[in-house]
Amino acid sequence: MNGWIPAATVVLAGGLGTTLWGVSTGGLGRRVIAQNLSTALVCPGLLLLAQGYGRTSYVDLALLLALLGPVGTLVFARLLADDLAEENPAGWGPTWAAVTVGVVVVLVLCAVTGPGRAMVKLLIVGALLIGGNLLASRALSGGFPGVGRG
Amino acid sequence: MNPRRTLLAVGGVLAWWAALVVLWLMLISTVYTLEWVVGAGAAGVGALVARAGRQAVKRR
Repeated sequence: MNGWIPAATVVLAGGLGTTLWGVSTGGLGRRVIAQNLSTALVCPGLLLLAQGYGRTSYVDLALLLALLGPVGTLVFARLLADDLAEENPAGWGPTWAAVTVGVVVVLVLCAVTGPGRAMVKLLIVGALLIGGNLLASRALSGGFPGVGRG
Repeated sequence: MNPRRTLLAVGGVLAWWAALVVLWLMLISTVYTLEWVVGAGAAGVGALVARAGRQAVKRR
């Protein structure tokens, strides 16, 4: 047991718990946003678990999640385009909160890992996580009128 | 097909290939010969698919 495991527990319980609550209650826009943020918060949790257990293979799971989470949200944005067009759910507050968690976790882990390929991998995961999250949120809020609503 | 376009196409695929090989090398845990071979092959396929994708978007 080390400090990373409690940190991962807080991120997973707080982040995933909150997003699961968001997914299971409220209107469509809120649910879709919560679904988007769930992967954005589980990914930093997995990075912390990888560090806590000393298993680098967990980083691959985080990488996969950072890549596929936003793709899944884009699929939802496309399929639910007609319903979402009425409310254009923004949810930028929670989105930026999730981005902040991701940035902090990735930067702390980079500082601990030190320079090398492992750090580059962490930065790639972070870039995918944050970029994908922002892109997906923008798609949900109707930021790509020509593409997303076609 | 004129030579300039051929050159641009080959350059584009090579640039994709180089970027994907670097990405592969960053994401694996241990670098050895077999990883290089598999990575270079996968990056080659990826580069061709990337170019095909770009062309498809341009034609829209």
